[in-house]
Amino acid sequence: MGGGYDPNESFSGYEPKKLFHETPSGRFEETSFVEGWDSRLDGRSLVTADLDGDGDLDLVMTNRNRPQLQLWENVAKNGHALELSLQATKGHREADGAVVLVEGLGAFPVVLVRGYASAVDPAVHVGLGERTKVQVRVRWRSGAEESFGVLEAGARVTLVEGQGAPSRRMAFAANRPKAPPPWPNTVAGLGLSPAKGPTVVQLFMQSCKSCRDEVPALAAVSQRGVRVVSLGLHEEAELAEVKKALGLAWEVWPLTERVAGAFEGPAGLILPTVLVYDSAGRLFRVVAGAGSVEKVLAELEAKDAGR
Amino acid sequence: MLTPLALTLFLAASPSAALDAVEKQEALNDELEVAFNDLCGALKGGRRVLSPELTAEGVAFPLDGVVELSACSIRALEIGAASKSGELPVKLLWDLDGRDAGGRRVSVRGESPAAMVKAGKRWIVSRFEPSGFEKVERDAPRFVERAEAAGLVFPPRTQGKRPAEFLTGGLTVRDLDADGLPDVIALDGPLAWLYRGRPGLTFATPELLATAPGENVFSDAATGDFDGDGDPDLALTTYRNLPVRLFRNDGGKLVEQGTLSKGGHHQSAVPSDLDGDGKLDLVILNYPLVNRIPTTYLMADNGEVPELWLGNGDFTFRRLVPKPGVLQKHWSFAALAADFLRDGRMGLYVVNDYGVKDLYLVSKDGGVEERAEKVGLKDPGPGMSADLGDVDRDGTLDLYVSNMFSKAGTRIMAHAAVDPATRALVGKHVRGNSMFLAQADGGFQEVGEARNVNRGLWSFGSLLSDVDDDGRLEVLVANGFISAPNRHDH
Repeated sequence: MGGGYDPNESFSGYEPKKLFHETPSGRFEETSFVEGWDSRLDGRSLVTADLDGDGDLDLVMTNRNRPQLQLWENVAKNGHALELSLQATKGHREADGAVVLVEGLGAFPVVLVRGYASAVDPAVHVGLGERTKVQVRVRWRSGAEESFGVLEAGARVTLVEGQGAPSRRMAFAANRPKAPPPWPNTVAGLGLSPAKGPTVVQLFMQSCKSCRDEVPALAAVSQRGVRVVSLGLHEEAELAEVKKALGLAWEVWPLTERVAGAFEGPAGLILPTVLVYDSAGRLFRVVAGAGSVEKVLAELEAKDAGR
Repeated sequence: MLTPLALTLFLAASPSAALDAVEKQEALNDELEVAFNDLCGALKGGRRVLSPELTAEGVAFPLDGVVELSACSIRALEIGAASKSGELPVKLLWDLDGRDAGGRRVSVRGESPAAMVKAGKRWIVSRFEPSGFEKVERDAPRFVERAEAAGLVFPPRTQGKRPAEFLTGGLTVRDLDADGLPDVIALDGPLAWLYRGRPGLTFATPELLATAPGENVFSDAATGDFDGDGDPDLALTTYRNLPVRLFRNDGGKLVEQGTLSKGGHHQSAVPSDLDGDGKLDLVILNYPLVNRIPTTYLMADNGEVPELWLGNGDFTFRRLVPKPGVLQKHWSFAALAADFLRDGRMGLYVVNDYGVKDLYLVSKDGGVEERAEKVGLKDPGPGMSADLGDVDRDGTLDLYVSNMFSKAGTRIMAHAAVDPATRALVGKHVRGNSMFLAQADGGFQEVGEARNVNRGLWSFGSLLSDVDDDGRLEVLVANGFISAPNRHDH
C-alpha cells in the first residue's frame, strides 16, 4: 500500500498468524494458537524446514518489528515422513521445475523460492501419516517420468536422474517429542497445602503497579474468609520485606520458574495473573489483569450453590 | 474513524457513492467496538456471566471448560438497520483462544448472527447465536519458539530504521556449506547476515555478508546454483536503484562475484531455469512504492515489468526481452516458478499488489506469453505472495495466494450502495487469500472461501506445508502490517 503511515498508529497490526489445518470434510480449521504458533508480530518472510534433521518441519519467520527473527521447533509426535533431494543430470542440477509424484499423496514441486522473499532447499518434504513406505516417481523437467520404486519413511533420500533407485539415504535423527511445562491445575500442583474453601492465588511482583492496585480487592476477599496466597517473582529472602511493604496479610511464597513458565505467553508472563481454585482445589479460572476476582468468585459460589 | 484501507478501496471503485452512509456506519462501529473490547476484557478477566452491564441475560460465549482466555477478538462483519425497538442486527466474527483446566490449548471461533441494543450510554449484546462455531484443541503445542536459545538473533544495529524496511523481507534457509545442517541468511535492513547451522538446533555467531549503502536496504536473498558446480550461490537484491549483488559459493564461503541489472525497485527475486537450457536464470520483481502511487488501487498499471535474466552459467546473464506488450507493468511483490500447465514450459506466476496477477509461460526458444486470465489465475486483489502444493492430492499442483482479508472492508461492502460490478470487485479485494485447485482441463478453480482459508488477514509470506506429517498440507500465513503503540485496528 502507499506511503504516509503514522508509525504510532496500528494498521492491521497485532494480527495472529494463521495456520489452517484440513479436516476430513475438506474444510480447513484455524489451529495456529493451539499448535503454538501464536506470534502477533508483523510477519514477512516465512520458511518451513527441517532444521534439526529429525524429519519434521520447523518454522523460521522474519518480522518488521522486534524480535525480527523467530524460530519455532516442531516438538510434537508427528506422522512418518520422507525428504527427497533431487539431482537432475539432463537439465539444471537442482531439478527446479521437476515434480515428485507420491502414490496416494499427489505431487510435490521442486522450487528454489516459495512464499514471500524466501529461498529454500529444493528438497521436497513428504508427510506420510501412518504409512511407512510409499511408491515414488519423478517427473523431470523434460517431462520424462522415472520410477524410484518403493521408499521407506524416516530418511532424507537423494534421487539422481536416470538411476531409478535412491543414490543416498540418511536416516533422520531421533525425534524426541517434548512435553510442555506442567500446568498447575490443582492447589497441590502449586506446591500449596489444600484448603477448605476456594483458594485465590495472585502471581505478582513488587514493581508491578496493577499488582499493587489489586491488593485492596484481595484483602476484601481474604477478610471474608477466602484463602488468599500471593506468589511473588522475588528471591525468598526478599519476601518478608515485600509482604510488609505491600501490606499482604496472607501467605506469601516465591513464584517458582515452573509455575511462571506455565502461564508465560509469547510476550512473557503478564502480571498480575490471579488463579482461582474451587473448594476441591481444582483450577476454576485464570483472571488476567486486575478487577474481576470478586466477580469470578461470585460465579464460583453460584456454581457451588447450584450443585 | 473510517479505515484508510477500506475507504481507499471504496473510493477507488466508486468515487460517487454516498459516503455519508458509510461514514455513519463506521462511526457506529467505533461505538460497538468499545462494547466488544469491554466484553473481551471481562472474558479475559475470567468472567463468563456477563450480564447485565455487557450483555442481556442468557447471552454467553461457548467457553465451557475454558479456564484461561488469553486472546479475544470480537468484530462486526456486518451492521444492519436498527429495528423499531432500537435493536441493531450485526454479524460478529469472534475468535477466542485459551486453555482448559488440564492446560490443553483451545480455540473457539465463529461467525454468528447477533444483535446489539443501547442500554444507557453504552451498547450491550442483546442476542448472540453461536451456532456452527468451530472448536479446536490440542494436548500440547506442536511449536515452541526458541530463536534466542538457538542464537538466531540480529546483532545490535547502529543504523536507524530505513523507510523501505516496513515492507521488506528476505530469508534463506539452506545448507550452504554442505555440512548437512541448514544455514540461514536473514536481512536486517541494510545488513545481510549469515548464520551457520550447528548441531542441536543452534547457530554460530552470524557473519556479515554485505552492507547496503545510504538509505538502501536489502530486500531478498535468493539462492541457487548459478554456476552449476553443485552448491548454492546467492543473489542479493537491494531496494532501490542498485544492482543485484551476486555471490559465488566457494566451498561454503560466499565470495562476491559481480552484479546483475542496473537496479530498480527490486522487491524480490526468483532463481529458475526458465528456458530449460540447464543454466539457472533469475527473475527480479519490481515494486515502485517509494516514488509513485498506483494509478488505481484496484487495477494499477503503472508498476514495472519483471526483469527476466537468462543465465550463462558463469554469473553473467542476458536480458530476455519478450515481444512488446507481453510483460505487464504491475506492482510485483513476489513470484513462483513451476510447470503450472504441465506442458513442459516453465511458468512464472507473478503476484502483484493493487490488481491482477500474471502467469508468464516461457518456451525453450525464449518465447513468452501471458496466460493468467485463460487459466483462471488473474485473482484480482492486493497480492503479496504465493506457494504451490497438491492440496487435493490428485497429482496436479494447486496454488495458494496471499492477499488481504479486511474486516472493515467486508463490513463496508455488506451494505454499501454500489453497483454489482463494484461490489464484486471490491468484495474480492477485501475477501483475503485464494486457493486455486488445478483442474483436469488445465484451468484452476478458486476455493479459498469454500475451504475456509481466505481469512489470512494482511498476509505476507504464505506456505503450503505438511507440518504434522499427516499426509495433508497445512496453510501457513505470516501476516500483520504495522503494529504500533495505538492498537486501534484500522
